[in-house]
Amino acid sequence: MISREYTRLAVAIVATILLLVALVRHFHWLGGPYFELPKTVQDHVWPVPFASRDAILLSKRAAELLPRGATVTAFQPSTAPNIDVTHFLSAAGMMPHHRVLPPILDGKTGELPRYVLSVREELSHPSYALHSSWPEGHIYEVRR
Amino acid sequence: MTFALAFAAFLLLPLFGLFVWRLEDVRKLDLAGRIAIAGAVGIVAVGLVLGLLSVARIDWSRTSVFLPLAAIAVAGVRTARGGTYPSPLKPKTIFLVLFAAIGVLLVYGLVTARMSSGDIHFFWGPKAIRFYREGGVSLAVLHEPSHAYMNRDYPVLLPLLYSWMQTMAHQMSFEAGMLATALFLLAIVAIVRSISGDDATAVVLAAALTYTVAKAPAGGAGEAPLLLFEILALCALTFFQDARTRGIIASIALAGAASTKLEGATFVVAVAIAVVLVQRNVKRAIQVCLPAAITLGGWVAFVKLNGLSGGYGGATMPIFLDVIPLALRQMAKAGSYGVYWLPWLAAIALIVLGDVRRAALPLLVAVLTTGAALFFYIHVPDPTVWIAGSGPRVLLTPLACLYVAAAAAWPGLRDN
Repeated sequence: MISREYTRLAVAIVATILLLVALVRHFHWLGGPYFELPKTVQDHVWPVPFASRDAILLSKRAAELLPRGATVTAFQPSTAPNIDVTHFLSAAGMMPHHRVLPPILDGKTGELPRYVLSVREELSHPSYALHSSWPEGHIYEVRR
Repeated sequence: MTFALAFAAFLLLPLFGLFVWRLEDVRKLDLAGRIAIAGAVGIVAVGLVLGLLSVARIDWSRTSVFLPLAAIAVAGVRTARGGTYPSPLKPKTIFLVLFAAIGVLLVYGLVTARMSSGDIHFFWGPKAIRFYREGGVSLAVLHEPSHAYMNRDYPVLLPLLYSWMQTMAHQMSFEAGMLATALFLLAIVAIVRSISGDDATAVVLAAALTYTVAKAPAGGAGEAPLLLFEILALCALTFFQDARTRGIIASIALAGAASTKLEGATFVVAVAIAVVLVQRNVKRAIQVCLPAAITLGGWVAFVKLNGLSGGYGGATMPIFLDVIPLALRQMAKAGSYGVYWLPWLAAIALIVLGDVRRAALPLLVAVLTTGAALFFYIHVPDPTVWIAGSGPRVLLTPLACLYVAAAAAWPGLRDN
């Protein structure tokens, strides 16, 4: 029984050390900077930052810039027609004082959002004009 | 300041669960184990208070939320005070060093956004923000167009917990929500270690959870609190000797699991089956699962009556039996976590080196929850993408169950 107990301890210690090494390797694979506080909780989930990081940062800017209560949506135009809805969901969290709508701009299914946060890319849409540009993307306002 | 207040909301949780400290088997545990159990119970207490306020149509405010929680905390302190509790379990130096290293890496990974699940920004967080701004769980919020993309029928315990955080801080702190994952994971390890006294299992469990949650990645999402409830329930049913303690702790934990994620409901079913088959005790299975069934049943009824159903409608979907081999292969791939199944192999080795018969209950739950995952995956003709995305997170439950089995199989437990 004693030898079995020592074997057990050895298994536990070796497995723990291997898992810790694998964890450090994984963190390193995700890339630097390693000792700076990230701007968003999405900064290092993949070696190349996800567009969701930019969606969060753009929403943060828009939350301060756009009038409270205005309708807003957010998306990355190149993901159309299967638009990645996670960007507007992120905006819904970052812009609690605005009315964040799903990214539907066909004009047939309900109102057009007053503002569009176009993540990373420019938006080409006849109903919208550029409001402002930022490193994370562009903000558009519906033409009146 | 926002972060500090928001994180303090999580640190306060054990206060609302102190009333379980005097239970026979909880009283025997060391401080870390008791705090961890009180924390898990505290989450349920917070969820219950916020939920009942919504049912009573009383808007959430610091006054309306703090008053009942303060009453619960005072009652808990009175109950816990004056008890005689054992001194902390002192680990060997090597384990102390390993626990410290795991803790540092866990906090590092969460703080530097290397373990974040997107779900905290995609629905857990936004959902909680909308509830908080609206002053409660309301049909108006659940019927909003944006909610159609946020699993509007999903159990609400985690959004309620994040709403509690906002009640403290007056706004959502995604960073605090992320770091709370560390508290949940440390609580799991403290419970297993405190109940079993088995440092060997506890240290590998800590490393395995930190690594797999990072690989999944699941920081800030529902997995960590779900695992906390699941492991607490399983530990109570496996280790506690006193029927009252076992019944109260297991039923609270199972209600918490069923109210956290959809997978929590299948876990409750798995536990019920395992208790009947292994412990040959139908009455116990009903007793411990009843609060979860009532909580979940109430929520499902609310969802159905108000036309919010989505995920629960999956029960009527067709099953593709020919997909089973593919699903199993993909699950095996997802479960390897990029380290050749090391987290699983370590747990199995610890079980085999102990007395396997003593680990029957958690082992069966591990098998059943794996089977439940497979059952869900064969509802689509090609689940490859689905499993690649969700598999590493879904498989955390059976993996964690194996570590409870490893602790239960430990021969040294008999001498404790």
